[in-house]
Amino acid sequence: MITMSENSTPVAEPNDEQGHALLTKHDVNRVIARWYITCEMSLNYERMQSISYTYSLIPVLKKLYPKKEDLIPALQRHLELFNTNATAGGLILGTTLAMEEQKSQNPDSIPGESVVAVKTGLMGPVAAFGDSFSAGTITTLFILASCALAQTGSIAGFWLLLIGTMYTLGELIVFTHLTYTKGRSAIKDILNSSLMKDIIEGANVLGMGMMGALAASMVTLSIAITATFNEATLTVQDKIDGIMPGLLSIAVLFLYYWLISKKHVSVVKLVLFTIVVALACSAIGLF
Amino acid sequence: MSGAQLVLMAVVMGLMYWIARGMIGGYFAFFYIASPIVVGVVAGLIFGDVTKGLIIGGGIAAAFAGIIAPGGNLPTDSALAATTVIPIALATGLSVEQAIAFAVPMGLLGAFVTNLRKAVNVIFVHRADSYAAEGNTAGITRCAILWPPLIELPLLFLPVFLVVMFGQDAMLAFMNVVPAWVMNGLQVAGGVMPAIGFALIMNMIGKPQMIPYTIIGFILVKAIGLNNITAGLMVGCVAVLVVMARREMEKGKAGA
Repeated sequence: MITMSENSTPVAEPNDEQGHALLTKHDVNRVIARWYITCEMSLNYERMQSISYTYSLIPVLKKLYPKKEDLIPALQRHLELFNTNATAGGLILGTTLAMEEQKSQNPDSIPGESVVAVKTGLMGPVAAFGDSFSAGTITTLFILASCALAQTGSIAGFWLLLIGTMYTLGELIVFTHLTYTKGRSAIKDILNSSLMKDIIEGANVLGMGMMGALAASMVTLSIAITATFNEATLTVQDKIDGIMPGLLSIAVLFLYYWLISKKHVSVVKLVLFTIVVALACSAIGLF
Repeated sequence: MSGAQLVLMAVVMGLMYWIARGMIGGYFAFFYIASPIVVGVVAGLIFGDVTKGLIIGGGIAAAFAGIIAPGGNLPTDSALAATTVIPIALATGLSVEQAIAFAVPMGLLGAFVTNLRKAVNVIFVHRADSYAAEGNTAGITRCAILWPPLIELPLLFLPVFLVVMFGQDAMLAFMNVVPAWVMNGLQVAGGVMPAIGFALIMNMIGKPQMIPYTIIGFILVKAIGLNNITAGLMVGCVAVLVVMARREMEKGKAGA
């Protein structure tokens, strides 16, 4: 283990005003690996991911704060509540590393509370970005494409899903290194950059379109009622398909969308509601 | 299934659920080990029919697709559904639709299990606090990666192990008494369920003004008959055009 006191010469000279080069690429990667593997293992209602976050930082904190009296407050501040989308959370992880590094060089430059404040201030926006973009759009599209392959019995679905999972790791690696290298102010520039805006806007349009395309192939609902007039049998489903194929499926999609966005109905209630309505309609022979 | 094969299946399914929902391996566990597709492949390997496992797993995964866990709250648990229903479906010869019908209510039970885990893990917060006060990093490490998986072992492994061990006979008995309309109703629910996930994602990524894109996507596949990849390419082109059009407009405004 490398040990350094504040008075000794660092292994590498800081190469800018933020005191970079104290942490090596290896140090950063070690934190990334720890975080990726353990991020949700100690998840709990009181502080969510905080124990895992502290655990991930331990090697770096030990290197930056060789004295126990400096290490203890560092450990304590990272045990404060923390919860975000873990892979987009690389944006926060890199920022934290940059701030801790700067603080270890000059303890008065950043009070401990601002490290906590930056983390808690960012975790909401980063979670919103990660849940909608990484988990909601990119990973979901991988999952759905894998489902489509698997349902035909093709093992390619198994491998495609692995690629989609590796995307999350790649995202964490890129975001952490990017924000660590660029320093604490970088995250705002990244989240506000016009390229990022374009990517998110484009992904949202693609996502919205794909939800329709996937609903068309994966949501199935048809009405079983038939009526017989004289000799001719009339199927209600045929009449509906005559208006627009799959009208029921897309109607159900928009019903759920309306319940979620306007009525704020929880998912558990929606699932229960679906089961109850489906059973009731099945009992009376509607579906 | 019986004898050693059944015990092996029950142990492996229990371990997979423990890894998946104990999140041992983080998002790799969450997205991959927990996926009904992967559970289907593993169960299929043990049973001796990987293709059947894939098909059932793919069907269950589709029913739960799009349901992500914002803020770590899992509304319904595809991993519990997969690790319990797939082995039983393979052993008793259920159809994909029948498997989905049983997976839907099972998923709801799983949400309780994962919430229980988050409550149990609170114990380690206070331990970690006292270790931090002593500067004991090894103690924090144990609270992060050792105690939670250990305490969750009975919580996550046992229910799945027991259901797989004893579920086959129960399922066969149940299939003989359950009325046809109940099975049909659950199948209908399974067919509609993906729409909940899609609606959640629409609510997260889009404003109501973006609904026309959804309708376009739907028509491309349902009425025009394109496959999803072709439809995706077309919608992708629309996305690029939309972004470029907005850029041009902003440039125009800046120039004026």
